[in-house]
Amino acid sequence: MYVEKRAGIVGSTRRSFLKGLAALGASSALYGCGSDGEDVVYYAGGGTTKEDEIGYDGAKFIYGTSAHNCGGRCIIRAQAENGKILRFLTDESAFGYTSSGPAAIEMSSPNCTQSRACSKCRSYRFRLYHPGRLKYPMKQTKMRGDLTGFIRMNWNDALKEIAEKHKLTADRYGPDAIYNQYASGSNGIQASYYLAPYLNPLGGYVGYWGSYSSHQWQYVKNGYSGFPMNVSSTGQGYATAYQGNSYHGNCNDIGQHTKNVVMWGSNYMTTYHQYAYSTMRAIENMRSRHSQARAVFIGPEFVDQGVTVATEWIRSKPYTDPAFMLAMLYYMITNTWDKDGNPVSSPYGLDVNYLDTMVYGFFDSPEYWIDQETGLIYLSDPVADGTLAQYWVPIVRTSATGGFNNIRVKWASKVTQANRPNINVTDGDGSGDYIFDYMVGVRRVDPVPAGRSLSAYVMGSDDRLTKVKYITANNYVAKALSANDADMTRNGAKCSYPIASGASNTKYLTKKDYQTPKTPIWASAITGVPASKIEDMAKLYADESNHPIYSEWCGGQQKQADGVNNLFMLQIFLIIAKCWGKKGAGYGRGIDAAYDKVAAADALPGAVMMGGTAAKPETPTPSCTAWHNAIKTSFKNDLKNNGYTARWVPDLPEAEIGNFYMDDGGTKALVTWDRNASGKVKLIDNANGDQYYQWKGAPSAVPDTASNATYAGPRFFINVAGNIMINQHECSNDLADMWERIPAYHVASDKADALCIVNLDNYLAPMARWSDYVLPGTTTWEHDEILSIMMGSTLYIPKVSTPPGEASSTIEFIVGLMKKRDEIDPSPSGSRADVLTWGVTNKTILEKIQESYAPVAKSTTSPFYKKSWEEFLEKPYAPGVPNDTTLKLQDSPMRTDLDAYLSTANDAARGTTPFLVASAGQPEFGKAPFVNTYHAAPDMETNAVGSYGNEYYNFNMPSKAFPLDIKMAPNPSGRMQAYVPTYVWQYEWRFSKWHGWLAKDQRGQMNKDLEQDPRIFPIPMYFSYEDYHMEAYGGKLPSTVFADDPKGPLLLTTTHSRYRSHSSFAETGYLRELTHRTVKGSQNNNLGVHTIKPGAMYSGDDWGDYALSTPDSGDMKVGGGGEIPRLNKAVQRGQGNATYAEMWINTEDAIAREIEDGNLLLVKNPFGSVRVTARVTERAVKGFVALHQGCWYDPDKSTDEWVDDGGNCNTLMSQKHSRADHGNGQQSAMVSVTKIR
Amino acid sequence: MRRAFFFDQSRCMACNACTVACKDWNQVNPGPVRWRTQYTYEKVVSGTPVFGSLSMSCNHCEEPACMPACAAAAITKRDDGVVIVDREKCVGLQACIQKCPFATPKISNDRQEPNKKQSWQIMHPMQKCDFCASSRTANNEQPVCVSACGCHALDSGDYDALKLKYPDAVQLNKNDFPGAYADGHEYIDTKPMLLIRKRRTQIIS
Repeated sequence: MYVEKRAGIVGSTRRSFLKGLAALGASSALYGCGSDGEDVVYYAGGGTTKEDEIGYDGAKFIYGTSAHNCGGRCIIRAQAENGKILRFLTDESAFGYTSSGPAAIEMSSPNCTQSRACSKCRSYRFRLYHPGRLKYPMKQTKMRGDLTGFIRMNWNDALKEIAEKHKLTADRYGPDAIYNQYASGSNGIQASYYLAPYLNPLGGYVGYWGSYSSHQWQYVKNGYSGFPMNVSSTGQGYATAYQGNSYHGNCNDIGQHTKNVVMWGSNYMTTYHQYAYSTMRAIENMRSRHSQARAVFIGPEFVDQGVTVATEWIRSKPYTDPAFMLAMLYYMITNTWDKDGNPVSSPYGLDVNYLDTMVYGFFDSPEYWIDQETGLIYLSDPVADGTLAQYWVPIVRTSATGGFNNIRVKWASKVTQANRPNINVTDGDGSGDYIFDYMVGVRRVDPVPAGRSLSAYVMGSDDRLTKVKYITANNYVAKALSANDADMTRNGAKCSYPIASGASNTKYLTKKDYQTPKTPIWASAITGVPASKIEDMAKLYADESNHPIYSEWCGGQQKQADGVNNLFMLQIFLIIAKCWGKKGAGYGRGIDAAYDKVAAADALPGAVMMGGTAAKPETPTPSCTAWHNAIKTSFKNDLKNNGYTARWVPDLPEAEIGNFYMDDGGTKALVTWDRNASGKVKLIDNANGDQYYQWKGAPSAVPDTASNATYAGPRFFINVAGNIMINQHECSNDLADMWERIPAYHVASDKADALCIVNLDNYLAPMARWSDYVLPGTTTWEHDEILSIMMGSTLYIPKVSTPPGEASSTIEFIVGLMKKRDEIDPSPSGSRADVLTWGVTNKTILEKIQESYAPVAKSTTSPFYKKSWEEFLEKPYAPGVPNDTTLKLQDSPMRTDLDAYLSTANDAARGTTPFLVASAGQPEFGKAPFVNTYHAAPDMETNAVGSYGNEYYNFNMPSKAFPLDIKMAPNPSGRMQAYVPTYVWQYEWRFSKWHGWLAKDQRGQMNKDLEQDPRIFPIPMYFSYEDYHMEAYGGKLPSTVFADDPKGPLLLTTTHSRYRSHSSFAETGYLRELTHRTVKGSQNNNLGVHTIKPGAMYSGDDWGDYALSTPDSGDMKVGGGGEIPRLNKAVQRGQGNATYAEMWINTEDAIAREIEDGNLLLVKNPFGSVRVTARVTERAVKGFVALHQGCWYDPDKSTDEWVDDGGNCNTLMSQKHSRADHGNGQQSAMVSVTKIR
Repeated sequence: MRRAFFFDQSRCMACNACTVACKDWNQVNPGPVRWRTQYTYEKVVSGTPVFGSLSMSCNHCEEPACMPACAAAAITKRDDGVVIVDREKCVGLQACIQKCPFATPKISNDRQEPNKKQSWQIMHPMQKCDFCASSRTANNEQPVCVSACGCHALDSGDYDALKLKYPDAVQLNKNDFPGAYADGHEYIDTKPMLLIRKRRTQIIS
């Protein structure tokens, strides 16, 4: 039987491979199955005849998927013969699976769970059998980054040298110099992050906060969760989600309830292929149900999702959405009151009673106190004057699942302050832990100072809101606030944000606009959107007959310079527009299917983890994007001695090299810490009793001045399937410059101090090039892998394709490394490697998987009940079952109560009765009525009682966890906040508990711009993109920087390409040809490709000349030497088939620059330049160009310009972090575009 | 039976799963030849752009213009309507390409097709979609492009049955889908066996 034969092949190949692993003890043994450099790299295909097609007869297909980080996880099935894959199919399942058995998959359901793969997985043969696959371990012997400096070595020596380096550095610096670099090229059990926990027995490592995909959104969602930094995801942040924010919309909800969808950009159908069908069908269903339904796409680039599902496209400039929203607010305000402050009758005005009742900070307001049980407002402190008593409610965690949003909490009974339990008690089991307590009874609400509310900023110099009296509104809050002052107006002053240097002197366009009324005409000039269209959208949102509206934020929007602010603004706008709490309303990043997966216990367990993880020692967790700053600090002497001038970083003056660039993102915390035996960092007080983390060499108390500490910084990286360190981080030229000025490990004199980067990858991808050790890695189909299919069961993917040369899996690598460590540094408690392999020497992951399969086959509810391992392999996958009959969602009980409170029936009582949520249906809190607005709305996805109210929990800062000065956190108001002092506070105090070694004024983060004004404000503003770039240019205005470009700069973003999955598929033939073109070559379209026109090469034809690391003619030679290579040999040699990435440019911009479709362009700014081909298209708006991310950095070092022929978008990015979160603002650039030929 | 394709323009998100699956399944190497193409064409009408996606292979026309154009008689139409090329007979005159209003027949190059089969008369005989006739449709499976489509925008079957299944679809024609037709090729109504459900107009502002 075929499958048995397959399984036999898998087993035997496996065993012979592991012999190599077992032989590592002998120093002369080579690792793996390859013996020399003569392995044939084979191409599949080459036929294109009918016979080739027929070759599939009788073939069986093996289930699998791919491990790259595309956002989806679909099914592919491989036809494999003799260790080689011939072709792929995708999922053709007809039945899903529930505990009661199979159920037909309804293909026409929006929740169809058939898991069809996209072009990436279908192209996988040319990834597996690419001539550029790494085959042997190599190390750098010359300057870091010099491709001629690599020499081949054997696995034994490589592992030995790496193990020795790790020991030297860990012994000297502890975990603080071992960095677990972010990487996403391989997930599943062979993932790079899988490695990290196994470093713990060797002393641990520094982790990171956030991700390159969603750093800004995570910051908005949680606030900064790092107080203290090693507690993950506990922040119910300043901007805590309300309905649907945190994740995705549900296609049933959209299809059945929503009236309008507004996409503030969206690329979800590309980045989440598996949900594309549901997204498309949800909008299809909305439109067939509601004939007036609109699906509005707003943005500069009409991506595939827009073309497919939008009913209209509003062409806007990038980075300018906050201006659009501010103008809509202006429109709503001016449809509420005229210029004298008198009411206006309009369907497009604000719901003032709603705003007063539920929202804090849209208008100015005085200090007040609120009784949280009665909702009564006091203008003086009722506890101080003895009117009321203060009570506390401990909140108890009842489950430990997931992040904070998934943790179920409930209130214990009310206690007095004296009887409060010991808060912050966490025994780690998640149940019954007091995680914080919550003040009830009476809460003080901070004033919103005159002229500082969001509406004051919106109105600028327009003074109408200083004339509108609170008391005229018919609601309790308005009446109560003005009880002592009937003349109190909504805003105490016109916009009053100060400018230190004065409005006429400031360089910042943002500040010049403080006093400008944010009218639709103002926004039109910024966004490029006609004022009438902005008003049209304001009407859509303001008129409740258009509700429910589902709004989508775009992943790209939160990778811009001010991306945190974009989401902050959108969220607050939607609160003010009342777009929450109703079925079909919400705010998310995409629309998903609804389905029930096979129960985890009945599928193959996904977490077949290796044995013996030890506890991770406590370390700080800097932002994942901040490592380069730490490198520049820890190796500042090397950099200075070797001539590094930061020439690609104009805002880093040479004199400042080695100091913390852009204070700070967490790098100030990377000193050597003093830990106790259990790995916890010790605590140390200062004279005031404030507690800080204790660094090695600290004095007995924290002084106010700077103190000696050893800066550890990252010195040892294991980077598996990761391209972050050169390609996917901003300003690749600077990173290359930086790496090359730090001696390669091989030549460095002090091995413990030296930088060492170990890279395991499939290709000589860009970061491999700048690494010290380059190790050949396997990919799916070449090793045993388990991955979870998004809409089905977890999946075991067997090894069916022979890996090239000596390629090793991640797991084999880490076990091999640990064996080597056992050899050079035996542990008194026995073999560390054996601990990883579950106590059995050389036990394989396959054996472990088979073991974990045994109970699955015994479960009567499992789809694999009574199936042998061989039968399981034949179909190891069970799709989920569509869940489109029962819609679990409901309107938020709070919204229902609120609507009753605001109804005309309640007109008589509303002025004297506070709003209280009376409904049951708040299971998490179990207690009604209450006044706070937490946990109010059903989550779009799970129907769990979600959270909203964009405020920050009052942790009441126990001194065990925080320096006392941080206890001065602003009070949350108990309402949704349009004015958020915590946003400023958390920025200024972030990381400060790790900052005791610094002088007092250097702790936390500086909230100052170049003119000593704040850069973080409590309200969302429109921050002009020119300001970010001006700062990144070292203070020069963009008009100066681009003075010699007669056409002026264009704005660039770097949307995800479907065809690369970040940078994972840059080299793959079938995909490269869809995104790359020869100069003046034809496009991938119906017109150009049917014949090969003379002189016009087809797109993408240099894939086989790309990323070569094998000793073929003229390329890098084993043992060093060879032609000086570029990644792209075709470009290096000027071959006619050399191709360049396409960049989208608008027709008018192209004409102005005499550019025609297919021309070679130079795209340039102070950070670098790239060569790309022009794709002239109306899908990019005027003034904007789109260079999709993920091309491989390939600089031409023959000139000082370092022009990147790879077309990597990050070559054009400033290294300056994004505002507020210190994340990756890598979708923001201004560029000069000229034609080369 | 007249085999035909159906394409839902309102559902195609231009992901190219169909075109890549086609190349992989039919063992067409990376390079210029692809039996199925997907492209989002655009045109400007009265100052406003219009966008339309299209996924198209050989349309297996009822009256194929390529067939009579071939002097070597390498192109035939089977009883089930599938137009196929016998690559062994092709002598490379390329009249088929010139006559086809969609310029569908393809000629490869040495990089993409490095090995000439002994039975071929020339290095790169014409090739094109054969409806997965011998591999999949013969076994009552859909062509590989149809089963690849994540958004269920492709279908195939008997032309009349498809018309019943998709009553709002129209037959491919130059007026509605100018982007399907090759520049510089004479327009001949070949009765293409492709039904298309059109997208609704988008407002662009």
